[in-house]
Amino acid sequence: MCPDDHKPTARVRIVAQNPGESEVLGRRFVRWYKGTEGSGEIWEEDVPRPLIGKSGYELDHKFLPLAGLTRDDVECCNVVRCRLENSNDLPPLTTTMARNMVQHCQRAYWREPNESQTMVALGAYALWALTGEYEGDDDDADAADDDLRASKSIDGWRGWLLPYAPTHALDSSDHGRAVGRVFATYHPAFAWRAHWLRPVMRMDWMRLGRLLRGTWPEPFPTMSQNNPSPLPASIAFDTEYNPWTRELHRYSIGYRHHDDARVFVIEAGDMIVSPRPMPTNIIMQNAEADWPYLTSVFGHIPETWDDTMFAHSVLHGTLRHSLDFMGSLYARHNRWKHLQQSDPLTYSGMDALATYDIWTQLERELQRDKSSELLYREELKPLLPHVMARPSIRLDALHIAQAASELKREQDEVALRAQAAAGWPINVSSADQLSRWLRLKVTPQ
Amino acid sequence: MAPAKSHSSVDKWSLQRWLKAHADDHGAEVAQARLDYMELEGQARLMRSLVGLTQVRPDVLVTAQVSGRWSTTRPPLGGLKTKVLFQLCRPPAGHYWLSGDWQAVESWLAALYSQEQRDLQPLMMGYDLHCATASDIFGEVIAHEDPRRQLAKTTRYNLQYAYDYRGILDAKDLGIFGGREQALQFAQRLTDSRPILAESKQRVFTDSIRTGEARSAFGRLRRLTGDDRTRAKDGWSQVIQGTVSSMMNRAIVRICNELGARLVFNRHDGSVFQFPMTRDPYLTYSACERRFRGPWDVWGNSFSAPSDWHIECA
Repeated sequence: MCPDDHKPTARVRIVAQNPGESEVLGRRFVRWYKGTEGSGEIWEEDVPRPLIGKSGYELDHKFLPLAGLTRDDVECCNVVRCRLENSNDLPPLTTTMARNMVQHCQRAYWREPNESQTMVALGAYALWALTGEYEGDDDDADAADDDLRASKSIDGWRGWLLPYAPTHALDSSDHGRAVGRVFATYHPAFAWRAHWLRPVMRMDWMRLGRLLRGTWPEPFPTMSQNNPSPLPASIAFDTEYNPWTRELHRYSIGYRHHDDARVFVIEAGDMIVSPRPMPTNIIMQNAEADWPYLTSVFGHIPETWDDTMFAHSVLHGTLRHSLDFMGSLYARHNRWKHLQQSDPLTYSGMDALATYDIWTQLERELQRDKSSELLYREELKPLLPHVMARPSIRLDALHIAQAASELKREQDEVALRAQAAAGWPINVSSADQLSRWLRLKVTPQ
Repeated sequence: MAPAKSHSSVDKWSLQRWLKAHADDHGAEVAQARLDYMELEGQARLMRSLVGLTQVRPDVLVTAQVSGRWSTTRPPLGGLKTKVLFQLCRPPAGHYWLSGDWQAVESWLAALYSQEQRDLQPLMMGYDLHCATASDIFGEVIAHEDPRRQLAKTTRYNLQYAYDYRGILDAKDLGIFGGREQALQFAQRLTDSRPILAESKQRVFTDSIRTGEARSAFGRLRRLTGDDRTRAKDGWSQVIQGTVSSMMNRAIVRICNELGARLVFNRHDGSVFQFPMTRDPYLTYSACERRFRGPWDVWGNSFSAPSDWHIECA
């Protein structure tokens, strides 16, 4: 058992998942050392409390300072306060067992935060306990992942702010009275496994600093539904269309005038193409998708254009380039991508404004990195017309049918080969049978 | 972005790791069969998704990979072998396709970057690189038909982005070498025969670890994270693969802009272009080949990249 570590004056409450072995034992990680006699770790005795192991060390030394915080400014909790079967792992959040465990422990030990406190959820379990959300349906994040990973993920919500809505109080009268805000980010230990996301985690903690200073997020601006006229030289443009018929539903324009956000969301039926000062530069996120509508909306193709996805890919190739993800790093507003069904006006308008704000940041980064800027302007942008002009590819149905049956035959041969090698009719397509045969322990990575 | 890993212990990564440690074990044949089955299943799934369709227009994402290489999805036609691809996909009536692939472009670039003469000489003389490699491994002249040429080729490709000679243990099937120890021996011999390349790689490794970033010849940046070994390998990979991707992007733009071709798809070290039958294929072929050849200015070298081309008619 590892009790929560409360401090009456703490401005921020860090909420983690479940304790590591050292936290239960009351052993604090002090530092690594490297000397002439070798290298190792220094630990010291402490009382059992959350985040005093290596994750806590990362938190104290790498992340809290980015938010302008020290350990003295924060209090730390877990949503599960003991170690299940002496392991760091918890069952997936999709299971009743995991949910019951979190809710039971929260009901027993959770102390309500005071109204001025900001909570930081480290990882999916903490986020679910405090808000009822996890994963977040980020388009790119879950596309390549399996269900287990998705069930332990906060990819869609990290970097964003959510209202406090504790799941353990769902049935009680306290639920409606809960006030507070929860900032979501990855657990520090995740940086060891997904090292390419460490820069993202650093940006999250810097964003938390801005949240605490009151400079982020800005409120959503008013979405005008009037046809905009006139327009400034540079605007961001986004479209909503039927992906099968390509019929335009609505378009949105976002820009800033002396730092004031201006957003227009126009339904296709209300669209007026009138003579007006036209923008000379149009910024898009994934220009390939929006390009076909430029002429119908503006009456002509702009002199210049920019694409946030292209620009981000040359600057940060290891990260995702979806608008949701880039927004979690650069947007001046809180998340809007989850509003597609509930508030399509804000969803569309914010797509355009966020594209504008993201481009503003990326343009600065490109100016600082001339090689990447050159690559963006002279290599990536010239590709767009040719990517868009790709023809459809004719398929040879007969060969496809033959290839499919040939592959089936080859698979059958491989299956027989496996059975011959195993000496029993093993099913080579069964992960379970293979796992047992190879005597491998099924362990989440 | 790095690939998301599945959690089952018999996923591709775990099995490859397991095979590396148990190459000579009783279960190795079963594990290898599972890997082969999974690879076939990927292709079979693609094939099943195409059944009943008369045409497709795959999504291409030019921003998908950190090296700058493209991804083709829905359907992922880029993963098919060239021969299979052209059996399944045909140009529309009145058109033909020209398909070009660079020959051993990554080996060329590694040789140019390091100025390793043991590789540069056969490449520049137009000799078979893998025969030359095999000669260094086996200590005798190896003919093109000699099966040891294939062993040398596999050794080379497995060491291309490896941290050291032990990278050979990641080879798909160590059985072709006659076992783990033999494979290590071949890899060690190949590494020893190219000391300038090894030293050059080591320099990139050191710089990648120290600076936390690497760039291709055309300036494509990769921010490096993870442990030293990961940073080192990713850094070297960016130097070479990032350069290939930029060459490809620039060649595509030139061929489309200057010759009026339409890009059909781009995959790995090659691309397919569509022309109307009214354009003389021999003229378009030589014009495309010239634009693939360059010369490319890479790390202060003027590099003429050889390529193979073939034509597909409707």
